[in-house]
Amino acid sequence: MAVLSNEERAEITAQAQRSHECPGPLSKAQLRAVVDSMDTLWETTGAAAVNAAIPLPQRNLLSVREKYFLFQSMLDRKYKGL
Amino acid sequence: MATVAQHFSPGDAILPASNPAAPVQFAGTNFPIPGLAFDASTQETVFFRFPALSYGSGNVNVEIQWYADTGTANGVTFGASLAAITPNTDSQDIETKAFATENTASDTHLGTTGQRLHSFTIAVSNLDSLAAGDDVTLRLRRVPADGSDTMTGDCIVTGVNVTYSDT
Repeated sequence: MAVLSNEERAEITAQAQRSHECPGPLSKAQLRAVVDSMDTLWETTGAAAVNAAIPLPQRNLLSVREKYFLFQSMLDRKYKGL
Repeated sequence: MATVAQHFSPGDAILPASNPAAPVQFAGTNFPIPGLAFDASTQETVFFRFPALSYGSGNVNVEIQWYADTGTANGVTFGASLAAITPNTDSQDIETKAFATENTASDTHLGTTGQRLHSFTIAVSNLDSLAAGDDVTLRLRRVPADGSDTMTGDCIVTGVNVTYSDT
């Protein structure tokens, strides 16, 4: 999967600002840079690292969608509502 | 020589069909705070109409009172523009009337407390041939694409004061 488009990253940045998760001290440009860097990191190393961490044979039995549903659920449980 | 002042609360705003600032009301600890929430990414607009009672000459000053919804630093930029019609004199169709060139100004969050009240003034010098007694529409909008509009999150406008000289 490729990195998100410029428009997709901009939309994520905008959505973050419409929530109460909006980081107050950052400028809009700084917040966008956070989104850019996290997306780039995910595509260069993050996704592959998560996939490699899944034990066999499960790694080959799960679809990409199923893997990231589980991964997203785990992240939500760990970090939402902190 | 005197200064004429007209005050507008959020409830006085006329909202456009697309991309209006969102009317909001926060409960507050001791009293409710009505406001107009302007997005940090999408340009949103409101309008105020008033008669230019006793207008004399010079700029129209548009003071904006605002606070940050979630931001605690950086700046905001707003633009104000006027459309003035002299009844019985101007033959312009009121439904297709255009605005004069927008004037803009920026303000910076003063820190210390996130939701502290700020104010700044846009000096509107593009007056659309304003004359005493004109029917005036003021367009107010945040300018998220402006280089000085760096603050994240909504900018909540709690009031607008329009002032001008009567001479």
